[in-house]
Amino acid sequence: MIGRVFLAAVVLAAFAPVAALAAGSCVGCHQEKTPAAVAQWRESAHARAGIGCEKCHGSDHDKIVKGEAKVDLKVCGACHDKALREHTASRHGMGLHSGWGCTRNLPNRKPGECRFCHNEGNEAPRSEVQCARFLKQSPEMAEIGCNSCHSIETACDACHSKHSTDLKIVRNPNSCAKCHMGPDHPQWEMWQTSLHGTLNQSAGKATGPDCLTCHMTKGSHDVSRGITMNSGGVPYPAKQAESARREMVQVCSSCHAPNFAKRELERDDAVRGQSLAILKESEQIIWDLNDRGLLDPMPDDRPPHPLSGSKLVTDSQMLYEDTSHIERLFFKMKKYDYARTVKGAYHQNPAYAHWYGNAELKMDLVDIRSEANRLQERRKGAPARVSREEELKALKNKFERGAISQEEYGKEKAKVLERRD
Amino acid sequence: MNRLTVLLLSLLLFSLSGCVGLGKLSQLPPELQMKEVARTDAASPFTVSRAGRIAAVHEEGIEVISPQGQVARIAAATPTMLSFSPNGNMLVAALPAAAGTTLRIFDLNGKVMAEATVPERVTAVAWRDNTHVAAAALNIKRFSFGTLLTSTFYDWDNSGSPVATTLNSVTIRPQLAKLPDALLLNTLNLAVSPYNDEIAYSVLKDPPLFPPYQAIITRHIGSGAEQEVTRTSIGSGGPVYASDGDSLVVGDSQSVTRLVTIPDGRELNGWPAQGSYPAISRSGHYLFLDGHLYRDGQTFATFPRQSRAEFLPDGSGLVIAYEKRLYLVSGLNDQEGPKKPANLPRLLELRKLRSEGLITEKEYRAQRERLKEQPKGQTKGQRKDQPK
Repeated sequence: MIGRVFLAAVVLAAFAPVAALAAGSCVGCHQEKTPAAVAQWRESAHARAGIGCEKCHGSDHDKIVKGEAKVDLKVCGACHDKALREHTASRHGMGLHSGWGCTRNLPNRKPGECRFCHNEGNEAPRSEVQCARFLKQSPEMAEIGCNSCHSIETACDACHSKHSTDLKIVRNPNSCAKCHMGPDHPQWEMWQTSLHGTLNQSAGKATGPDCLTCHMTKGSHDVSRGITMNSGGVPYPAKQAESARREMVQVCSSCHAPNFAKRELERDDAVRGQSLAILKESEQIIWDLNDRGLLDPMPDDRPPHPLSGSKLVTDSQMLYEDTSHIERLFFKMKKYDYARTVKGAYHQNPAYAHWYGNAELKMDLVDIRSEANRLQERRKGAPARVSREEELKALKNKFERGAISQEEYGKEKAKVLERRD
Repeated sequence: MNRLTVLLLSLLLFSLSGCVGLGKLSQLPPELQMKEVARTDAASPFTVSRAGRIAAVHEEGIEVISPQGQVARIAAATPTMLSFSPNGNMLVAALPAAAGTTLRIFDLNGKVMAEATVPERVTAVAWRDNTHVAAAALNIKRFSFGTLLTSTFYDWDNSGSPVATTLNSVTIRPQLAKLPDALLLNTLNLAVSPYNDEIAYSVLKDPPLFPPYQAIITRHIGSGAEQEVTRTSIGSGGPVYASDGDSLVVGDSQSVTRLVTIPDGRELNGWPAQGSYPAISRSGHYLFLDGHLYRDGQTFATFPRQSRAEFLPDGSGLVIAYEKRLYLVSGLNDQEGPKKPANLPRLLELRKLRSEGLITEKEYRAQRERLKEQPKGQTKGQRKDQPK
């Protein structure tokens, strides 16, 4: 009898699906507890290859339940080495968690947030990069508003779904749209309403390229190939930009003549340069006001910037809250309108490049100039004249930020010291 | 000799030396005269007023000694610090209290004019003007891993509560923390500039990997701007302002006492003395360091090393405390201190601008020189070549 049972078991084992063995004891319960996950996994390439639950989730059930056994980049990368390397080298993999920052000193932090930046049991953060805007948020807003997108550095499931491996999902532009949309970088909207996007809609992918066609060519996970500026729209140094441009022209050349692609991109470079000049002019106006103590309120009179304290910040760590009105105008100008102009141009979208971008950008400059005039007029109307001390402070600020040379600084100071009151 | 004999002989010698007057232990040039003016408790504070009155502590009381030598006991108290107001009409005393230190202001008759208590140990008091008292106070908190020293500057207008500003907060390592409290308290000294616009103070620093030191820092009272002028070894005396307000006398328990410029700490002069209690005359010509009276840099008279001194504001002499007595040394011929410029507001403005780093030292000195050239009647901003 025993012999027959053993024989039957051997036969059953031989013919049972590989997947059932791989999933081991998990499926029994999880068919009821998380049926969708089990169903997606059963249809996946992982199941077909015999990759079961434990391979990715581990076998410590308590840890899994506590959310401490996240399936992150390291887990996936163990098998998907090429994707790991490409992703890590790309913008998706480098410092995109700049949406984070250490929350240990924030009053309303949640202990679980540590995992955003720290590996289990490791005090050292995965990166020193911090984001002032993130640090100003409540833990709830930081999680949904920042980390949902900025977790992409270490979370493959930010694009790929968790248990399904169907590439149809991840290749759909909607997958990119989860993050690449909205006022600050509406690439999805730009693409949809560009010639590329409309052709894609009407004639299919072969005629109208989508996100992956240009940014993840041949299935590469390096989404930064061919891009000539950083994520804040600051152009790369010439040498770095040159090689990136060659890569993008190569991508375009699979449909267009290389010279045509080159010309188009050069035109967009020009648009970027012109827009940057407008942006810089506005930034200069704000720094001049700050030098003269005319911002309202001045950085000293606001809650301190999470990373820079009471200093004026107009770079990538600029805040949109607890600032003066003119800085808020500049934030909108830089983060929304400059980005739309430049990215609109590179995505071949006339409306975004011009009306949503360029026109807004120029109207912002009008607003900023007008606000600066108002602040200056208000100063003139208030106490008598600017004291020597205030004037010297303004000069010192200018000198320290490199706006005037040592020689000019000395001369200007002498003029102020000689001034008769 | 048995032990008792040795002890008795020692006691005899000790009592004899105590009886030896300062005169016999000093070397004075013929033009100087010295006389005992009062008795005082050992190591107690004393101060001299503009009118030449001396306030000192004797038998647990504060006494005021007139220039004629009359002694008046004005309060029963044992202050750790005493200072006369610039006009000489009031006296501030720092009195140890259960919860810190009481600052009490007396008039010359001993009437209490004002009082305030601060939670720390006051280590120095000075007057900024006839209404504002400046005080430095130190709080010592001992932990297992080190000792936290918090230095506070108090600005008191004699009516409300003293306004506190933290000057320094440093955790010193256990080795340094073994020093007795009295020595740690000595590391926080304070001086008010002759222009009353700035203080200079010393604080203890204990950086990791480097030996501890005392930093000499100036702080502009109006702007709050601070500058480290120089560094010196722990337990050093000073800083004391020279009468120009642009230099400081800084002692050094390991080396020489220096006269350094503000704010860059450039050494202008040096004396081979530790400078435990430095005192400088109104003109800067006389300097008293560890029992040596210097005149224009040369030793002029010598006293026992442990003597402490304060110059009379009129430049005619100095009061010396030695053991349990106070002596008046007269016959000095000190010149007037540097004259304040006619355009004092402009000088004060320049000093403020310098403290904030808005003008360089060179620019400050150039502008200050021009103020000296400015005739008295000239109005603000008006130059010689401009018609009135």
